[in-house]
Amino acid sequence: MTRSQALLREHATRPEIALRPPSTIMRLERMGSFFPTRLSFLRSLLRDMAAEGACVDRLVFELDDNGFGEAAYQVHLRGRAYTLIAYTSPLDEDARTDRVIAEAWDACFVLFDGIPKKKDIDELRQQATRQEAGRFNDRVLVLSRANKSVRLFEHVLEALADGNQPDGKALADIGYLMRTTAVYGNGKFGLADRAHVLRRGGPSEPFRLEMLTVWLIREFTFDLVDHIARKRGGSGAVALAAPLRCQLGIGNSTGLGMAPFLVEHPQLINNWMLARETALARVRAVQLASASMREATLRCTDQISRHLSAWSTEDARAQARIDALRHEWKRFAFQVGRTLAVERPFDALVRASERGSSDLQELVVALVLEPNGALVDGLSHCMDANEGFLLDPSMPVGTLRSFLKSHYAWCEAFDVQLASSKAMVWYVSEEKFEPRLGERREGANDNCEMLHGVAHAITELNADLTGWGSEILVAEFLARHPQHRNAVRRVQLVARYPYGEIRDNLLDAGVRPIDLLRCKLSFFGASRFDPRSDRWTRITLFAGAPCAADLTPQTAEDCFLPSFDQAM
Amino acid sequence: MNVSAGEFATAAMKACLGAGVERGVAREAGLACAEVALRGAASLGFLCDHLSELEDQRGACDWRFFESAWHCARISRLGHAVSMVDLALVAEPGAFCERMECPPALLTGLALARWRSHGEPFEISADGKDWIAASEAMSWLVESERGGSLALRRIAGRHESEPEPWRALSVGDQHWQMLEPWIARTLVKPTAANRTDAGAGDTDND
Repeated sequence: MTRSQALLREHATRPEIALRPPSTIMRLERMGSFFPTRLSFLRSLLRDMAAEGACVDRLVFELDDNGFGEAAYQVHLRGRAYTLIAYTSPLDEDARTDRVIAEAWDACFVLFDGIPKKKDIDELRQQATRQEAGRFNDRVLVLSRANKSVRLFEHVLEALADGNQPDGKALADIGYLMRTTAVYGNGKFGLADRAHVLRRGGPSEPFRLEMLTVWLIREFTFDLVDHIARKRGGSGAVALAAPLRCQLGIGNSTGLGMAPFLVEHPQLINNWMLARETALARVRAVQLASASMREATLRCTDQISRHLSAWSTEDARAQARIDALRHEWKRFAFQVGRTLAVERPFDALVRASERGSSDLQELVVALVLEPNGALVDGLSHCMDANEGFLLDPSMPVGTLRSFLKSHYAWCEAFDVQLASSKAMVWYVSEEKFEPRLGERREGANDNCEMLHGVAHAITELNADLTGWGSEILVAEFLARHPQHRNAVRRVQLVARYPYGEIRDNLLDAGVRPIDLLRCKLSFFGASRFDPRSDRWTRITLFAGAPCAADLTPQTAEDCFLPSFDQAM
Repeated sequence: MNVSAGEFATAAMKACLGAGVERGVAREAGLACAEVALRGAASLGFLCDHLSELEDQRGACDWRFFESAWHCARISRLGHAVSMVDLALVAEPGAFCERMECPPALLTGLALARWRSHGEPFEISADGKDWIAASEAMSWLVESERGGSLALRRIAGRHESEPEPWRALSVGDQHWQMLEPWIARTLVKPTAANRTDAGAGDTDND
């Protein structure tokens, strides 16, 4: 039995409120409303590190007066050492782009498994600074790069060199000193496979090493700006104040690659969703809120209000949603204190939110999970997946048909004959393998299509199953119809992992990939969603999170939805 | 060059997709190639030969009239191999499925991948009399890589060995480069117009 199945079984035997069904959750509009929660990967990383008393040691810091050179930061997790190695170099303004198609960066990083020798650091520079063109071995776990924020880095530097703290508003508006433009792991370019990492005793939590890398990059950015300021300002320079550091995160711009990931990993996405929904059901079943729970919930309510006030974007559609949510939240927040006094208070809050938008509903999910760590946090260790599932050829066609009926009836809502239902093509560009989404054109090469319409594939599978006896095995059906192999595997998987399928048509003319991005990024723990279009967003990671020097169980707890006003 | 097993499987899968192989078959073929490589044998040469063969079959078809025939052909031997593993898996242990024409290395890799996934080990035979466990078939494969029909069955009783741990692989540049033309078919050439399909500005500088 898999961990997620055990979780479902455990849930079924407890007197809890039913999970919200996949038909509600696995819709694009809903997924595009998700907020980070205490189950988000960066939150669980910080909690686990704090509980373990993890310390960061700066092993190497060999930067010139302009901040160019190399640095290394080491941290021990569960008895294993991990080292972030940073390489910085001058970047011509002509070569500066934060798109994935860039060829040069302000800083390149690797997360090394263990403690690197000088020789390792020297040799890896050649590869790390070439990024996708480099080749790595299985001692290297994560590869990343980042550019300085043109808007903020120099401003902060000047202020510190002059002996002043930077302008709080500028920090609040931008939120980070550097922005990563890619973070690669799990076997890419020769990096260690996840299975290999697990076998060597590495963490099983999804994206844990990637999150650790970003957190250490954040640490490096503070040291970098302090270092250059000291060199520039001499004895008059000051270090960036601790409260300001805490509020700054690491920026990231993210595009379409997130969407295929969610489609290609149904077991993993199921386990993320299942953990989140199980947490919610547990919290909703709480009979009475203790005084400390009420106090914590009210604190989080205030924090949400501040977060919403500080959150803005240039994207008109996204800003309109934020404005509407602020308005809804203002009315909702008013009733939180009163509702906490009733029986099943968190359930009452969730039910009250159901009268509002999906944005409000998902914000309330984040709210009610937050003060209930004792019920929720253990689930953060149930979010990984063993994805080796190949299809089961021994399944009778009748069973397959019943699974189609019970898990894929939603496909019937889409008229797959309409041209608009297949208007878009997901593809990968030769340029740095960047995922893109364009309009379907006559004569386009089918082999280039990256994502296939699930609704279309299921409709075709259903049609070809007509006339096949219920007792006949899938093995025989597929010997005749091998083109359905992928669809059959999905159906079998989703029957076991019901939150594994996005119940919308990703090829539709009106598809908004930003919803998928927001969903995945919320699981990472991203905040300050700042869409640049319907398929590209800027975000911030670790804003409001403790720095290495401040990491304690309490500070790791206190980083729910950041707002910059706390530091000002 | 150093390649992770996952990267190896993905590259082989993409090569299959580039040749027009159905996604579900391509996924298993990719895993099969990685399994063979994990056992120390070369699999990419066999795969590329097979993809070229599919290409030739397609070239021989008049696509206007034989698109469905092409569809059958393009999954032919690889598809047979995938189906053989399915059929052997649903048969009783020891009972072998019908002999089909399929590439031995890929059949072995598919059997190994299914062993990892389902925990059921397989054995292979060229004549239906002498059987060899898929996990031990690598040296035999090199000699027998001439096509022909093979039989496959689940191993009855206890099997002592374990699937190879997923780990880094060393691959000759030449072998790796053989995949590139096939993978290139899954990629779209960049143009000024399709750069905007990523949804960002030309630079998205901060």
